[in-house]
Amino acid sequence: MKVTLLGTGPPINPNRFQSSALIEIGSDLLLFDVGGVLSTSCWCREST
Amino acid sequence: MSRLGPIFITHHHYDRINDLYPVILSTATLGRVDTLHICGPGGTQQIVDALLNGVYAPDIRFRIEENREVLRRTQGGHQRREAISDVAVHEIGSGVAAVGGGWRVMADYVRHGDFPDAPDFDWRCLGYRIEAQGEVITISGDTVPCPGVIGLARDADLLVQCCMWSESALTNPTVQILTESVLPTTTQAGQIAAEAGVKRLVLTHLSASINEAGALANVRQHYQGKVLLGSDLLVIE
Repeated sequence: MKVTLLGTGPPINPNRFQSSALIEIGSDLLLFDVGGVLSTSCWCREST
Repeated sequence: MSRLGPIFITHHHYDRINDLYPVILSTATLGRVDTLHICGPGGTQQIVDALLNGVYAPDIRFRIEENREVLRRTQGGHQRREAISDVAVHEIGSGVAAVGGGWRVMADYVRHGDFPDAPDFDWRCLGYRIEAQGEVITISGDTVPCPGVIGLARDADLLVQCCMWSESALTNPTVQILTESVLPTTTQAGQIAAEAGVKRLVLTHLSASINEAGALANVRQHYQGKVLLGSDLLVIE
């Protein structure tokens, strides 16, 4: 399993995205919570 | 991103669901063809319904009509916009949350707020235990030390544990009260990791006041295993 911490902040911390974690198991992508700015960071991750 | 799912929601604070609609939308516009499954505590269906049938109904309608217009003029293919609303919500409690090819996700209730004077307020928070490939990863959700998170993290290879304050913040009386039933200090995070016997601890949900040296010193009061201070886009294998 591979874990990517997409966000590690609480509701308000200007230096961190809000909490979300992605777990990859084979070709499956399990997402835990959907904190703010997630879609951007997720997109960046897949694009790099 | 079109392959994303299921999505597991721990609780309904806004910082856990802020990007739920953008993710539903993005997976669809990037080519999702299957139903997007969303698991969460009671009340998740109401939130998803409000997003898809209320708040963002005009946005969804716009994209469907826009697509129809493109198809009419070009006779060409375009994304299946109806996939945006192809979402299945599973309201779950303690037990098996979802099973996939070679993996299983277990859920249990964790302690993130007690409201004995508000019996009408049905506030439920979950943590998750992911079992696959002979490994166990636990996502604590937001919680202070409680039987739920200890059970989910029992002997886990990795615990992703929320914490909010360093021990030094306990001089604030409000923080002191909140660490009893809402969010833990870094010291309490170490306590959870030690009691559950996890092999590795990663701290997340970190306020700006937490620094690495102080956090590690706090954790070490209880837990001697491997510790990482989480950071955005950190990959752990």
